[in-house]
Amino acid sequence: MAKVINCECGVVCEGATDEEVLDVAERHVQEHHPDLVGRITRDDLLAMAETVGA
Amino acid sequence: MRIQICGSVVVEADGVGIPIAPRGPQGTRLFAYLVARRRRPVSRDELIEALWPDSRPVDPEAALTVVLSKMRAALGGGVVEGRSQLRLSLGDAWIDLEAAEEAIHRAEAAVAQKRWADAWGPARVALHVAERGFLPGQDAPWITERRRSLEEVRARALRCIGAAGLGLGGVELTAAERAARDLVRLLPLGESGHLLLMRVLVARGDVSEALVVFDALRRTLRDELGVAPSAEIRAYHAALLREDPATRRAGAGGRVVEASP
Repeated sequence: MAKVINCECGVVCEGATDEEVLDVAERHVQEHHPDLVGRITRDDLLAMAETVGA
Repeated sequence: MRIQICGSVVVEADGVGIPIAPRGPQGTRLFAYLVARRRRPVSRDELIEALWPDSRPVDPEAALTVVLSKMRAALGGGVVEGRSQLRLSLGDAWIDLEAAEEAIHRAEAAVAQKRWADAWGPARVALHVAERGFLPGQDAPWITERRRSLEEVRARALRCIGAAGLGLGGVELTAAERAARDLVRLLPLGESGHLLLMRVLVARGDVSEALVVFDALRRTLRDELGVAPSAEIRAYHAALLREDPATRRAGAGGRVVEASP
């Protein structure tokens, strides 16, 4: 199901599946939150996501 | 199974949505009530009170049976257990409300140990869930109570994010300032949010704005409660006025050596 993570910096990470939103979010962390690279688990990223469009 | 009961209620299994309550709010409310109390059986009387706290249908037992039947059908066999005492058998389902409560404990532990980067993720989990709100648009005493506890989780998450951002420094100071300002808005009489905001502003090199924050707090406390700020925040304010280098050691754009949660 489609999910979205609204990062506090204003960027919205979206994906049609869990894997998609995780990939988008991990790229965003690498590009915009360098101090956090490798420190946020995929489980936590997915837990931040809101399921939308249900 | 992944269950989201904050914000819109969504249940999914293997990536596919399960429609819990396609016809109205009662099914959603019943499901959320049972999920939030899944560790113990719930009586039918309790469920009726939860579903219709103000005006009950003519035959509440029959109405409850209808809502329960739809839920049993939607969730499949064995998930809704019991007849007079009911509970959901959800096994190892991921539930956002529980995830937020677990995450905030992890975040606070990381902050206490000054593991700033490790605090960021779980604090965000707690904040994202809490900010979605609990059953928006619905009202009942138990819903209000749950919202209150979620607001507490939100405040704790903001404190952790502020502390973590302050500890990390650099680009995360922006996030720390936003979190601190949100905390001040959420708890306008709370000193921890104001002190956090002052520390973040100092770390960003904006001492004058930190002094403005203190002054606003001082006036608010005086006008609303007739009290002065605590000794801790007054001492921090005094150190700023003295231009104490230890207090200002973060400097403009620099890293904070220590950050208090």
